[in-house]
Amino acid sequence: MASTAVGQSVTRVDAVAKVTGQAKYTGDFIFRDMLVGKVLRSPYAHAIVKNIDASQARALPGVEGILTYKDVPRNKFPTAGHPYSLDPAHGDKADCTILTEKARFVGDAVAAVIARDELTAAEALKLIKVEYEVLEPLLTPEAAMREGAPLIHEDCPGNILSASGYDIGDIEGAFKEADYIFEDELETSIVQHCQLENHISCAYVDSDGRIVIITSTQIPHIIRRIVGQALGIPWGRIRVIKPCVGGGFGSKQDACLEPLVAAMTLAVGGRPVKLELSREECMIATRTRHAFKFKIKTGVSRDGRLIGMHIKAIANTGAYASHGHSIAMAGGSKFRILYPMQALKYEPCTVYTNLPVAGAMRGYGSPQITFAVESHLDNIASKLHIDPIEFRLKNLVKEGYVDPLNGNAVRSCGIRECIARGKELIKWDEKKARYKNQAGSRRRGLGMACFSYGSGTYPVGLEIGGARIVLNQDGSVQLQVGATEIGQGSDTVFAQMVAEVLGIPVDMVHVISTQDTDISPFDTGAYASRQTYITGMAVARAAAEVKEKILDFAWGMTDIPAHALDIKGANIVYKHSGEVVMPLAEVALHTYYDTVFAKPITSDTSNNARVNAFVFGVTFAEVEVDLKTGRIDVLEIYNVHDSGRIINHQLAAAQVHGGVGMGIGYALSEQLLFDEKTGRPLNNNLLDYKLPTIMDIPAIGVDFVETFEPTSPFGCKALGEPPIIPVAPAIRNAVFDATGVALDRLPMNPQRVFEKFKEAGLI
Amino acid sequence: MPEKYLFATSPADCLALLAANPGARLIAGGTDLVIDLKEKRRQVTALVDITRIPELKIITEANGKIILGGAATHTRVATSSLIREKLPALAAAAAAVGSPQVRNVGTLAGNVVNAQPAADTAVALVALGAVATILGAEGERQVPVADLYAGVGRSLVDAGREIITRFTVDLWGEGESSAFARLSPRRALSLPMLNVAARVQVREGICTRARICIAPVAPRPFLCEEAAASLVGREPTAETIARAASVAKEAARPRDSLLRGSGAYRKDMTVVLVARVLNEAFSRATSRKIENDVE
Ligand SMILES: Cc1cc2nc3c(=O)[nH]c(=O)nc-3n(C[C@H](O)[C@H](O)[C@H](O)COP(=O)(O)OP(=O)(O)OC[C@H]3O[C@@H](n4cnc5c(N)ncnc54)[C@H](O)[C@@H]3O)c2cc1C
Repeated sequence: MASTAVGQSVTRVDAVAKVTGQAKYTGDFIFRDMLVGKVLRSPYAHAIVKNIDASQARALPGVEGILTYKDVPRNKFPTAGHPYSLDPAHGDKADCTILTEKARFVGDAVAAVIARDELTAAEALKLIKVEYEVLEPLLTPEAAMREGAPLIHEDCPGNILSASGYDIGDIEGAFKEADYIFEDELETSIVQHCQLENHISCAYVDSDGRIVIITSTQIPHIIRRIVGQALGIPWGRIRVIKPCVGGGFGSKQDACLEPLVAAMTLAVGGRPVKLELSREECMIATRTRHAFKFKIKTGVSRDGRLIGMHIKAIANTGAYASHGHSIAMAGGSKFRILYPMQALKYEPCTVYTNLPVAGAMRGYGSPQITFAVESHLDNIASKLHIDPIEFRLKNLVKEGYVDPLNGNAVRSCGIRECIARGKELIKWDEKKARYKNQAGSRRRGLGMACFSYGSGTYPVGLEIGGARIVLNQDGSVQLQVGATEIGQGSDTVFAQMVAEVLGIPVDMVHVISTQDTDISPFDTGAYASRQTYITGMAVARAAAEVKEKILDFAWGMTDIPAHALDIKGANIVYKHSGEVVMPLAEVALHTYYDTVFAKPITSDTSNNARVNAFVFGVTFAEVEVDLKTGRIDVLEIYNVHDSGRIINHQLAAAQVHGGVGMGIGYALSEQLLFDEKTGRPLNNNLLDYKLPTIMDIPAIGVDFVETFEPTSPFGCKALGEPPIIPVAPAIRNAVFDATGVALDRLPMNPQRVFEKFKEAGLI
Repeated sequence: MPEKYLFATSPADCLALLAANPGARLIAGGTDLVIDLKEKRRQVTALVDITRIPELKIITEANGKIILGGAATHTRVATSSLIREKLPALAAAAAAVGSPQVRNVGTLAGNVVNAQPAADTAVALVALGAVATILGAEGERQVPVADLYAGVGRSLVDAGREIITRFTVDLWGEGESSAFARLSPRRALSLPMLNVAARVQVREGICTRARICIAPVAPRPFLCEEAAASLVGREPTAETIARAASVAKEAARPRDSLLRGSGAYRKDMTVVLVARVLNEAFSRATSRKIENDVE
């Protein structure tokens, strides 16, 4: 298929608006009489609120309202951005209240102030006196699971949120059959999204008495439902508007602020209230990435085939469930397609602790388990004296494989080509030979890691996408989707898809970027790398419908049957010859104003995609390790992805750049730290939390192996989250190659690496 | 919060403005002070800006001395060919501060008066034996930078009454050089886990003078005299360097910090950084690479 729009690196549809500052973000909505909300946060990791005396704060001029748990609805609600489950047994854990009477982490929302401005609100917070009964803080899963440990949530014995897993085949039999058994323990850390735009929402009550919430979210339609649940009011009484969003990475796939800001406006008679978190608040009081501890045991045959694997995982979900055990389950199901084995047993356990709430974050459990499994595989390859790439090639999945548990099939698979391309790019063989006998304190090494991932959540989650198109008088169109642009570029690829189907230039597709639950089609939002693939199906359908209507109308105008017509370059043409029949604009004008046949053309579709497409890829990394300090420098890094057909190479490459950068931070320097006794955060700011700077990131090589995924009308698959997934293990494996030291913990910061080198007797 | 923001036109004018506004304090780049004000660690009534005083920005050589204005920015120090040639440790330290934005406005005197033990240019200035010229109501006094510390975050310079107008570094002449190194978790916007600066002089193959400053291993930039003394009178070889490094390690008392690294790690790193810095300084001083068996 020769493409005019899909596959082209067209400029982002929002590029100009964003660089000129015209794009409106939540903070740009300023209303008359707007008040400011602020949150009083617990200084204790675990404490019961005995008494709150807000009388002094209330008396402060300019204070319009003070809220405690007594003043807001006490409905328990779930915050995770998942589609509502009709089956209550499968719903997310409802363990949150708008304000709490029991603080479960340092930063938990205990009370709130609504005041005429920031300064007054900040002053008022200081005047609220809270009496706490301090409880033992449980800061590690081990402490929380200890017998007799206090309960963080009274209804959750052992502080274990869930421990369901899965079993494929007979693991004990597989271990018996294996020639070798290998075991490893690996661990990841708590990190934070650090998206550019902090969490922010504002809300007011409109003239119909409905609550309007403007919010920086990935999931407006889901937010409507959650606010309804939290306030205990019909969902239709809530309207959620999502303007431009400055990034989320999963932290906004969650209802962090909206129930509270809704309660705030209700408390002040419906006046507009803005609630904006500082970076320091954002880093502890929204969401983090779950830290995991893994124990892996693997049976391998003499010739290097994986026979069976048993993974035990403990995930630290912090103070509230949020996405909770879904993270452990999703990670555990998406990685397994990569190396089909006769037996695989997965035993995850998600545990509450008195730390900030872990939720969705780019990769949703996959970066964690991929770090563990891909590191483990290199350890095995080394013990078997097999090249790590050879080892993987012996075990990789092939097209046609069907996941035994969820029934998803591998219909396109370019992982072998990805590996071959990555090997070439980094000059694997040449450098491997060159680095064979290194002396001195600076050693170089090469490493790689693979991943598999899904495109959306089917069959675990509902995968519904909606699109609506209106044909204008001049042949251009408006496109409305329920899917959310949060910086990743989805609006642009949808415009390309419409342009492609309708045979018009991309600049004739006007994407309405704002989602408004009153107006926008239903879609669950930006997560699970789903939109290009899932929403793309709805967009394709809506565009095809419009095209059909246009050609039918043209038939009426020209007597040329629709099946003989096509649209190219914004003209109606003969399908067989391409000869122009008339401009599309002429047809469009007639659809509006033909006194007999006028019927403006629109389409409004929803697509329930009951499919999933596996994506694959690799990171290849070259590092230099300073044995004397433990410092790791990434010299070269390449990501090669099979995400099916690439709709926009420039946007896709940008996505990979961001993901690799994030992966380097995850690998080497990022970690939220807490005081080991009190659970107080030590580095919830961007100076002390070591997000890599541009100086820490080498040039990032990006390449794509473009397979064609048959379940997508455009052959595309997911790309949003995946680039981060294999980065940390590839770097880790490169360090292993350079030094022979098997690092087992993230981040691999100098001190930790140095200590490992010492332990290994390297220095 | 300050109610006035005043610009001084000369050091004398600065003192006059400070005297005329009780509770005033002088401000240079503001990269430390503004944060202190915002977090209410300091209360001031007025700020006296000294960045428009030309003589505070000079970087020059005169009479065998290098003179640096108190308000010379890190960027100007790092990019000055004079400093890069004559005081490479200071150029490297200035280049390591924060980020381009911070270096463009942050100044040497600010770095010293803020009195953090591991402030990069302060560590280099102490190693270089820089002397500060401080102008106050009673006139001028000259104090080695190493002696300006009262404790962590506490300087003996009172920026509400006096001003550092310049730093002076005596050139040692033939056979001298210096070097600086730091260990940090990322390459920009990162306070050091450890930083080390050293200045050495070699005459006829023998080390005649040495100064080594290490931080943060004490409440102030730590001038490790034992380590320096172990070098003097000896030929700069891998062995003498290693010995000085291990003497430095014994003397250093880094603290445990979850953010900046454990005391044990930083003690171990003292050996590495001191050895690397001495190696670089001696190699430069003698124009000959010192073979180090392990590097
Ligand atoms: C993001 C960030 C990163 C940073 N990274 C680093 C780093 O990597 N390494 C590092 O060492 N520092 C770092 N700093 C700290 C800071 O930039 C430096 O200490 C800088 O040199 C301070 O200089 P200034 O001119 O901004 O001082 P100011 O903030 O203007 O002043 C600091 C103090 O010195 C006093 N003062 C200033 N000039 C004089 C003078 N001439 N005489 C007497 N008193 C004076 C002021 O009254 C004030 O008390 C960082 C700061 C920030 C914000």
